[in-house]
Amino acid sequence: MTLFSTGFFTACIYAAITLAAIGCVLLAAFVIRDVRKGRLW
Amino acid sequence: MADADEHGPFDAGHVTLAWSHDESGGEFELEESIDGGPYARRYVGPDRGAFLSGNPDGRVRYRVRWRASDDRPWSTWSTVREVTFAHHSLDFALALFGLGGVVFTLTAAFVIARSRGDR
Amino acid sequence: MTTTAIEPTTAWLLLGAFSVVWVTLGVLWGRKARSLDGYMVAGRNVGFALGAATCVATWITSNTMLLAPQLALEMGVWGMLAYSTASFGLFLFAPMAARIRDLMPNGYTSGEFIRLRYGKPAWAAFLTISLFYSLTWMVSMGMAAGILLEALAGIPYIYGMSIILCVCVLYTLFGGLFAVIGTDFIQSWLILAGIVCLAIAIIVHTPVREVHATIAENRPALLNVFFPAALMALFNNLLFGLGEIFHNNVWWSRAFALGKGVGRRAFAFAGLLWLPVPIVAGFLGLAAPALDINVASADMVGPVVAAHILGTGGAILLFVLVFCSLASSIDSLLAATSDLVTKDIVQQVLAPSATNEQLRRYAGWVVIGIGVVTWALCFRRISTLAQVLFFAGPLVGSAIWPIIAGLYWNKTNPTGALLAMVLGSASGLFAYLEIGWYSGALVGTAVSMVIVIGATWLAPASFDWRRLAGDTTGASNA
Repeated sequence: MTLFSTGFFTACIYAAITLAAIGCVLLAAFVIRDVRKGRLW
Repeated sequence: MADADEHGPFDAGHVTLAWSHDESGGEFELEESIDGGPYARRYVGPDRGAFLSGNPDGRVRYRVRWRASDDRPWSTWSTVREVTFAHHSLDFALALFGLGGVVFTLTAAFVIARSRGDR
Repeated sequence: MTTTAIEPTTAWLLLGAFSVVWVTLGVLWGRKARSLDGYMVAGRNVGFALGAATCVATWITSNTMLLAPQLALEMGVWGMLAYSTASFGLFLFAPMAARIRDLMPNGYTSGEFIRLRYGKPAWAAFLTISLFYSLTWMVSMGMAAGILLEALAGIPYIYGMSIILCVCVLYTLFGGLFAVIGTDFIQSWLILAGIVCLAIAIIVHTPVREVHATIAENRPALLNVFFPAALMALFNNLLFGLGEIFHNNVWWSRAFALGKGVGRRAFAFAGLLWLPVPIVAGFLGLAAPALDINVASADMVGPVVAAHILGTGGAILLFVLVFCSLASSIDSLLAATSDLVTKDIVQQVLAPSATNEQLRRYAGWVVIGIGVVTWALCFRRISTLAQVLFFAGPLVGSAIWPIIAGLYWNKTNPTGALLAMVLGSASGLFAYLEIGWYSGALVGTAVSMVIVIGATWLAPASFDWRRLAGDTTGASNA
C-alpha cells in the first residue's frame, strides 16, 4: 500500500489553514475598502 | 450486539457498529480479531456504537462486553459479529477515475478556451 | 454522544440571538429592496467583497462542515482532498458569470436563459431538474438543521428545524437578495475565522505529524494513495458540484447581481476562500483516531472532535459554524428559487401581464410558499428524503453541457440540448441504480456531453446572441 507521506499530509493541512486565515483577513480588508470607496453594493 | 443498519458490501473499508445493554450507564469493551488472529481491544467506554474506518481487505470479528463500573465484573462476551472488508477493484476504480478525468478536462477546457476571448 | 455537548439553555440563547440579528438586518436592508431589481438581484451593482463573500458562504453548506470530516474519516486523505475540488465549480463559473452578465444585462434567472436560448420544451425539462434539485437541497438542509440542533444541544428536532427555516424565510422575505448577501458576509467571515481557530486548537493539542503517525499505524488505508472507493467517486462528485453551480439560479442570480466587471474576480476569489475549508474541516475527522476519540456515528465526528478539544467552547463554536453555514445556504436557495418560480412560472404561465410591482409582491408570497412546503416535507423527518438529494447528481450533471454550450456556442441547437438533458438524466439515473451512486453524475454528464457535441456538429443552428438581451420583460431601473 502506497501511503501519503508525512510531509505531504503536513503541507496540505498547513497550507489549507494558512490559506483560510489569509482569506479571512483579505475578505475583511476588501469589505473595508469597498465601504470606504462607497461601492459595497 | 446489533449491527446498525449496514449490511454491506463493505467495499470502502468502514463499518458502523452498534450495541446495547438492558441497563443504562456502565461501560463497554469492544474487541476485534483480524483474519482469525487474537482478539485485541479497540474501545473501552460508555458509547453504544463505534464507527471504524481505514480497514484493509480482510475478515474482522467484533465482540463486546459490559460492566456496571470499574469494580464490577465484566459480562460474558456478546455474540460475534463478522465483517468481510473487500475494497472495490482498483482497476475498476481507475477506469472510472480515467473516464471522469476525461469528461471533466473537456468541460473545463471548453469553458476556459471559449471564455478567453471575452475578457 | 450520550449527553449533549451544549446546555439547552445556552443553545436557545444563541439561537435566539442569531435569529434576532438576522431578522433585524433583513428588515434594515429590506429598505433597499423595494423594487423588483432590488429584491431579486440586489440592484445589480454588488461590489467585489460582498460578492465573493456571498458565493463562499452559499457554497459552504451544512455538508461542508459535517460531511467533510465524515468523508475524511471514511475515505482518508483522498476524501478530504476530493471534497475541496468542489471549489473548481466556483473557479469555472467565474468566466461564465462575466459572460452571463454581458449577454443578459437585464436577466433574472437561469430558467430565463434556457427559455430564450433553447425554447419551451428544453425550458420545461430544465425547470423540472432545477426545481427538483432546489427543493431536495432545501429539505436536506432543513432536516440537517433539526437533527444537528437536537444532537448538539438537545433542542427537539421539530423546534430547531422550524426556527431556522422560519428565520431564513423572514429575513429573505423582508430584505430579498440584499439581506441574503449582507448576512452571507457576516456568516462567511464567522465560518472562516471559526474553522481556522478550531484547526489551530487541534494542532496545538496534537501536532499534524502525530495525527499522520497514528493513522499510518492504526488505519493505514486512510492514507492509501490508491484508495479505490475514493478514486472512483472523485470525478463523479466533482461533476455533481459543477452541475449544481452551473445550472442553479442561486449562482445565476449572483452573476446578475454583481456589478459590471466584478463577477469574474468575485467568483474566483470565492473559490480560493472555499478551497481550504473542506481540508481544514476534514482534518477534524482525521484527528479523531489520533486523539483516541471513539466516534459512535460517522456524521457526528466534527462536533465530537471539536467538543473533545475545546470542551463546551468548541461545541458552541461548531454550533455557530453550522448555524451560519445552514442559514447562509438556506436563505440563498430560498431567494433564488423564489425568483425562478416567480419569473419562470408565475410570470410565464400564470400572470403574463403582471407589472414589476405585482411581481415583487408575488415573489414575497413565493418565498413564504417555498418555506411552508419545505417545512411540511421536513416535518416527518423521513431520512430517505434527504437521501433523494443524491438522485439529483445525474440530473444536474446532464445540465452542464447544455448550459456551457448554450453560453459559448451559437451553433448548439434546442433539440440537442433537450435530448442531452433528458437522455443524460435517464442514463445517469440508470447508472446510479445499476452500477452505484459513484457513477450517476459522471454517466449523466458524459452522455449529455456526447449528445450536445454530436447534435451541434450534425445540425448546427445559428443563434443570435442579441435575443438574450432583448427579451427582458422585467427591464426596469432600480
